[in-house]
Amino acid sequence: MRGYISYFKAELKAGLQYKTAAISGLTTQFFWGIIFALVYTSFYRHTSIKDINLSQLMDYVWLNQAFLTLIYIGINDESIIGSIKDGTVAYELLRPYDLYTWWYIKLVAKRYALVMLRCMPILVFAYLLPEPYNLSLPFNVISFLMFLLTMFLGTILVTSINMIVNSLAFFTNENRGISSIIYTIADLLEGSQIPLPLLSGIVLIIAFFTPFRFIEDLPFRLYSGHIDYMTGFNEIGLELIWIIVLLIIGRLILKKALSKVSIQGG
Amino acid sequence: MKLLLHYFSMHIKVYLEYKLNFFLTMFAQVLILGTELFVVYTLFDKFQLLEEFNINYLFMVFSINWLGFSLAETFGRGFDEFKKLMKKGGFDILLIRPRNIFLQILGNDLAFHKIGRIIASTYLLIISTINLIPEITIDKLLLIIFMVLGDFIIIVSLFIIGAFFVFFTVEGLEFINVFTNGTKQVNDYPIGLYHKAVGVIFTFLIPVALCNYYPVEYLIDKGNSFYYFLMPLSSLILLGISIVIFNLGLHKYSSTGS
Repeated sequence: MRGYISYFKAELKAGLQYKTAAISGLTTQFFWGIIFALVYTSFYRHTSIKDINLSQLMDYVWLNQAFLTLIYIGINDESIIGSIKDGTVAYELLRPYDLYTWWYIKLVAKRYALVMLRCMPILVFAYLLPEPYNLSLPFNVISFLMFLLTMFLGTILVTSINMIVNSLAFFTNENRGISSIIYTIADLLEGSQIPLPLLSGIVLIIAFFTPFRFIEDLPFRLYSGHIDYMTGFNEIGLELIWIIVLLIIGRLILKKALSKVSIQGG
Repeated sequence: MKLLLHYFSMHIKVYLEYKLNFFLTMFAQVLILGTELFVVYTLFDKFQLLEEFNINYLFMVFSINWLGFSLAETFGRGFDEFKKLMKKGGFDILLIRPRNIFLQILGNDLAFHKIGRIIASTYLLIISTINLIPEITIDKLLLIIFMVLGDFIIIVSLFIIGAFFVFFTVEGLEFINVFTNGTKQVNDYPIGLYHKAVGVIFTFLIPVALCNYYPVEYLIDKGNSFYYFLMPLSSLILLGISIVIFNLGLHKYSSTGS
């Protein structure tokens, strides 16, 4: 256990070194936030809808930008796929640690390192923007606490999906095509492309029955009070079940893959 | 031109070596276009604006925007990925050759896997045009081609300006992508939808609205001035500026190698 913790710390520290990249990244997020804010406010100027109000939608937009690196499904560690492709995964297997956990920690640490460098300036900037473009304060204390909890769970969930997609590389060798297809679909269903309350019809139903919506839709709507606590608690329960299922699937795939791996060379 | 074609045909051959992955990546590219189109449709539907904005009109603006952008991404990748060329020292090799440097950079890379988007947006453009303007005339057809080319030139110009910064930072600046991707994102929707200030930026600073928004008025017989044909030409001004800027960087440049 101690080994895993110190590995997490080491990876986190390594991730925190990339400060210039963070400045560039958060500038990018500012601009994207502004673009989305402009798009949605334009629509609300024409008509208003009852599904979600503008202020809740702006919270959604800015939280998405501030925590993008924590929850965006496309964040991955190239070195994992790389080690599968070029065979250096053999070294990883020599470690007296569980490979699944090892990679899992690496991915989570990367997400936390990225977000720690980026979220604060974006949040402050978004709070200070003039209405109606701004991020509001949390609905109340309880919804804020539930937001924090679901953000944490969302990170666990999204990483377990990453692990499944990564493990597939053992079977296909070149999985960039497949993974970008999966990530594009997931991006839509988790609410990155368009906040889920604005969806309707079949896509909304699909989104409801897939795990992706827990990644960001749930925490963002808890934050703005769009979801009440009772629904929130039920959703968290459902999310925990999904997490367990995804963790098991990921482990099984990796186990299957590793049983077929034969290591060559001297 | 012959040189450029030769460069491109070589790149296509490379891409076709990995067939399965090529087709999957291509499919993913089309899927991205598909989801964005879906988002545009959903928003207009949700806010009950489909009566005010004809759906074929929306799809036409969208597809011209995407076609221009995809063409730029495919053929302008040499500038888009200029930092890679610079880091590996490949740029110095190009400088030694007695050919035009712009052509060489353009020919250096080709994002052939983005061709899926070109095909998909062309298809969408044709369908929406047929539905929106059943009796199309030669002049309107010509204007549509002008509009696509204008969009294409604007995005390539932005790539060139982005490449200029590579001379100073070598690493390149990630947030430059905001100007190209962001321009595309904003122009997925008709500019008239936005606050006036947004319209001003995309008319005078990055003149995309002159390529894929205002000229549509001519296409749907809302105006018949000759000026609509001049609007997409504004992209050439931006191209000129970007080339001048790039050359400034080129003069300051003194190799990354030893």
